[in-house]
Order: sequence, then structure tokens, then C-alpha cells
Amino acid sequence: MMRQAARLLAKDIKLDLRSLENFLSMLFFAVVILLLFAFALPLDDESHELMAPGLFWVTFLLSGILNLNKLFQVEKENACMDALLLSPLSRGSIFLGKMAENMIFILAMQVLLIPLFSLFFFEALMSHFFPLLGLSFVVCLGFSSLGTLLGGLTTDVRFKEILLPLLLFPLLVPLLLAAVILLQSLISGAGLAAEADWLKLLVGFDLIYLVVSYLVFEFVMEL
Amino acid sequence: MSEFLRIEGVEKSFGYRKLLKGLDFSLHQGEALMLLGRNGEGKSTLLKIITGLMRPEQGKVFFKGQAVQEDPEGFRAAMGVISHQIHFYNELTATENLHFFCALKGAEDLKEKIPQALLAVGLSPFANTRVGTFSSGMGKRLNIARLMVAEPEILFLDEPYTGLDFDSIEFFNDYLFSFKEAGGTLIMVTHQIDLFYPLSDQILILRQGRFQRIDKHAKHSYEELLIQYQEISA
Amino acid sequence: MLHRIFPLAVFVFLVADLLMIFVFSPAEVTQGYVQKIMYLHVPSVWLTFLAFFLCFLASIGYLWKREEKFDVLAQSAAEIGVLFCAIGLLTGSIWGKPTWNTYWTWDARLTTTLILLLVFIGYLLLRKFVDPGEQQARYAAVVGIIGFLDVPLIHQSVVWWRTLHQTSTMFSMKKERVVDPNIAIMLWISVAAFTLFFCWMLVKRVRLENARRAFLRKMANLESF
Repeated sequence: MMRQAARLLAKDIKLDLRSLENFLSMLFFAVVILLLFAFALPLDDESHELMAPGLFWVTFLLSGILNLNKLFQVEKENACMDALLLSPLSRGSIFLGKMAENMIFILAMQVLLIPLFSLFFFEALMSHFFPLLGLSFVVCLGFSSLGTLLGGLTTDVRFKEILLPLLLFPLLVPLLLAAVILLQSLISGAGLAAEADWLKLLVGFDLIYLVVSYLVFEFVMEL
Repeated sequence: MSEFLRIEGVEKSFGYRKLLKGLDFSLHQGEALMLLGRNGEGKSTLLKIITGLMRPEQGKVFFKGQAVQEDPEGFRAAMGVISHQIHFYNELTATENLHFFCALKGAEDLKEKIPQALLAVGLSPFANTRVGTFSSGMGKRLNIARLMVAEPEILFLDEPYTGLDFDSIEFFNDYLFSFKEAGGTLIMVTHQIDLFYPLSDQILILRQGRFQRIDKHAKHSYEELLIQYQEISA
Repeated sequence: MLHRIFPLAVFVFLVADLLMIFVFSPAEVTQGYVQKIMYLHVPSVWLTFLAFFLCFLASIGYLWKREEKFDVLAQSAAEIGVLFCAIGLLTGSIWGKPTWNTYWTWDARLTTTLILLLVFIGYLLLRKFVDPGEQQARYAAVVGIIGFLDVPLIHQSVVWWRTLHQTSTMFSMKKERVVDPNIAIMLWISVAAFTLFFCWMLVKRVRLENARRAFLRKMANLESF
């Protein structure tokens, strides 16, 4: 099962590298959001420091959802989804492959977003690069689990551009709250361990939705 | 000859409309079935149910005497599918596409088999060209190459002649003929009766959710069949 | 026989409940008459959770058994749940004005209720955007399940995030806060009356939905027009 998922992942990464414009458009979308924040909010360093954790994760969510829309869209061209579903791989492998692709894609974006965010918005963020990347991984796990499930579910639904965020974002509230508070604690110098309860909540969220999404994904993949 | 594929009491609604109202047929190994019917009668839906893309409300599909729900992956490994869409990624080359799908199918020795298959369908010069640039005829040839590598036991064809020129149709039918000669089983949904008529052993017409059977072996000529088909589907 | 007596009994019970609320039950010492909105607010919030829990169970039932009755139940429960959720939010914020001096505050339980409302509005919208039939039922069931599973997580995170509300009056585990026994009894009566009302609504809604689907099925299967 893992081998089939890995094949799917390798194919998706190859496709991503071929059409790098997907990645670039997501990255520039994130930059545009940052720009809007910078213009819409007070310009002094103090308020930037206050708002940085929230804005960072909102940027993450808004640009991350672009990739969720794309995740199953690539399978629609020439009806490749049918070919995948008619291949002898389990629905679970499709879920794992797609989820892994989403995580890699978004973490690659985070690697570039963190420096950009510190450049445009809040300089001190760069000094927490590696812990923040680690935190991003944990946040991204939950985001991708739920996102892959709902992304697959909305592929053929009308108004999916509206429906996907409408379904996904309210469900992600615990994830967002935990991510913001953990980043606050990171910036204040206390480190992630100072908010162990939130970290537990975050990991719990990841595990619950990883398992549940994996289990119900097969119901989403029937036509 | 043992029974190869059988469906039993298949029912399916589309929205609130009952589309398929209890369908049965069985097929022996090496036989070819032609499934006819007007648009919207549910031919493609039936094909999706048999291949397992859709779940029927009632009824079961048996492959080699075993219900396919018990081993869906084994059944999918044994099947090949061709439709009017080519089922390949535009941004990957012919070789990469074949490699990906055939590896998923569990085919082995891909390094040797893929160039051989591409040679057989006349696509060797385009082995490293992206599929997005292919014409529909080339796409169909690539589909055939995929079947040559993956070697399915049963083929499902959903309007495969759509958009093909005369040469491609001939090439495609030659392949189907050799596939059947080698003991392969086929189920074809089509409107082009004349193209598949010579190969088919059973002819079923889907009409208002039920099968009307045309017995081909009752010494029908093609013209007589056509008249009968038009009567049934009118 | 039962289908006539039951709505009548619900009606009598509700009227009696209303009478007791306004005539017999004592006004609370600090909040005065304002507190009486509690007898509408608390049952509504309770019914919200009950309805979404039913929707959750019915969704699991649907994916397991694939029988349409589960889908009808899930849909009906979710719709009524959204209704009571909205009532709960509205009464909560009306209650909030005199007690907290603001209509809206990001208090933990109000916020949880708001998020729940959004999740299940999403659920109902999804049903609107997918054509009726087996696929709609399946997709909705998936969202019904993951949506309800999120409730404890949302609640816990929002509680940690901010707490301002008076601790839950009836369902809290802490014994220290003593509620006037009259108020407690009154609250239980209201919850019981509203729960009965909910059952009646649910039965009605399920019947209506069954009839609607039967009608659509009949129309769709009329031979060639």
C-alpha cells in the first residue's frame, strides 16, 4: 500500500516540477496577502509583533487552500481519476499519496514564506526559522488530513471554490488557535514546550483527522 | 468454457430516476459483448458499476465466480479500460505515463516492455514527447500500448471510436481482434454498430432500464440486425 | 391515535411551561426578569447538541448500511439543529446585553456555538450544491461525521482561548455553584418540554422529507414526456 502511495506521490511531484507555475502562483498569492496586511494594518513594529503570529497562519491557510483545490484537479484532465480508481491501488493509498504531496508542497512554500514574512512584516521571525518549520509540519499534518478529504469531496461539486473554505476553515479553528498561540510562545522566547497543552491539542487534532479522513476517504472516491 | 463475468439484478438510480431496473447477463472467457442503447439509457453507468467506480443499489458483479466486492483490487488488476478520453497526464511523456500506470497495475520488466509496446503501436519516435501534444489517434495507440504492457484479461470499452480517423479505427480494431484471438474478453459500449459487429458474440440493447437481447447466432445479417435494433430502440 | 395525541400533549406541555416561566417561577435575585430567557436559551443549546449528535449517528448509519432512511434522519436533524443553534445564539446575545453589557462577546460557549452553526450551515449548503441522490447522501454523511467529531476539539480550544461565561449551570460537574432549586426545577421542565417539541418536529420533518422524495421519485420515473 505504501509503495502504491509512493508511486502516486512521485508522479505528482514530477507533475509539480513540470508545471512550476502552480507553486509560484501560490507563493505570490501569499506575498500579495502579506502586502494587503501591511497596507491595511498599522505600520509600527509593536503592532506588527502583536499581530505576526495570527497573520502568519492566516496567510498559510489562505494560500494553502489553493493547493487543495489543485490536488484533485490535476486528475481531472483526460479523466485520469478514472484510470487511478480503476488501477489496483486502494483508496487509502490515493489518500496518503495526495496528502503527502500536499504536505511537501506547502512545507516547500513555508521555507520561502518564513523569510518573506520576516522581510516584509516581522523581522525577528527569521531567527526562529527551524522551530517554526517544525511547527509548520505539525500544523500542516492536520491541515492536509482534513484538506485532502474535503478537497477530494468538493472536486465535482458546484461552487467548490466557496464551499471548500466554508467547510474547511470552521473545522480548522482548533488548529489555528493552537498554531497562533504556539507561535506567540515561540516569538516571546518561551519556546514550544511552554505551551505543552496546546501542542497536545494540536497533535490530537492531527491524529484524529489523519485516522478519520483515511477511513472515510473511500466513501468520497465513489462516483 | 467457464463463466467469466456475470452481473445479477443490478439496479441503479440517477438522482431520483430509476435508470437500471434489474440487469443480468453472463459472459464466458473469450467472448465479446456489445452493449447498445440510446444516449441517457445508462450504458456508461452500467459500465461504471461493473468496473466498480459506482456502487449499485441492488445486485452484484461476479468475476470468475467470485463477487468483486470481496477482492476489488484483484479484479482491477485484471481489467483494462479504454474510453473516449485517453486517461493520460498531459505533462508527462509517453514513457513516463506508461511507466506510472503499468507500475500501478503491477506489471514487471517495464524497462523492456514499454519500448517494445511503443514500437508495436508505432509511437517509438514519440517515446519522450509529452502526451499533451498527441492527437487523439496517437492517444488511442498509446492506450493500446498500455494494454500491451499491462496485459489485462478483460477489456471494458466505452465509446472508444469517438474522434478517431479511419486508419486509427482500423489499427484499433486489429488490436481488439488479436486480443480476442488470444482469449481476451471484451465488453463494448458504442453507437458505431458496424465497427464492432464482426467481433461481437452477444448483443444487448439497454432500453428503459432493461435488456433487450438480439441473438446474433440466429443467422442475422448485419442489415437485419440494424432493422431490429432500430425497432427496439425507437 | 398517537399521532393526534402526541402533538396535543406537546402543545399543552409547552403552554404549561410558558405559564410556569412567567407566572409561577420566581425572578432571579440579581438579574431579575432578564434571567427568564435562560429557559429558552439553555434548552435550545441542548437541542443543538442533541440534533447534531443524531445527525452524526445517522451519518455513520448511512455509510454503514446505505439505507436512505438514515440520510433522511441526518438531514432532518441537521436542519432542526441549525434552527435551534441560531435560536441559542440569538437568545444568548440578547441575554448578554443586560448581563455583560454587550450583545456579542467571544465567550467560550457562544463562540463554540457560532462555529458549530457555521459547520452545519456548510453541511446544509453542501446538500444544496450536490444533486440529490446517493452521492449527496454520502458526501453529507462524511461532513456530518467529521463536523461532529470536531465539537470537543473546538470547545476545548476555545475554552483555553478565552472564558467569560458563567460556568454551565446544569451540566457542570462542579458542585460549588448553588442554583436556586426552583430555577433548577424550572429549567429541567423547560428542557423536557423543548425536547418533546423537538421529537415532534423531527418526526414531522422526516415524514415531510419522505413524502417529498417519494413525490420527486414518482415525477422522475414518469415514462417519457
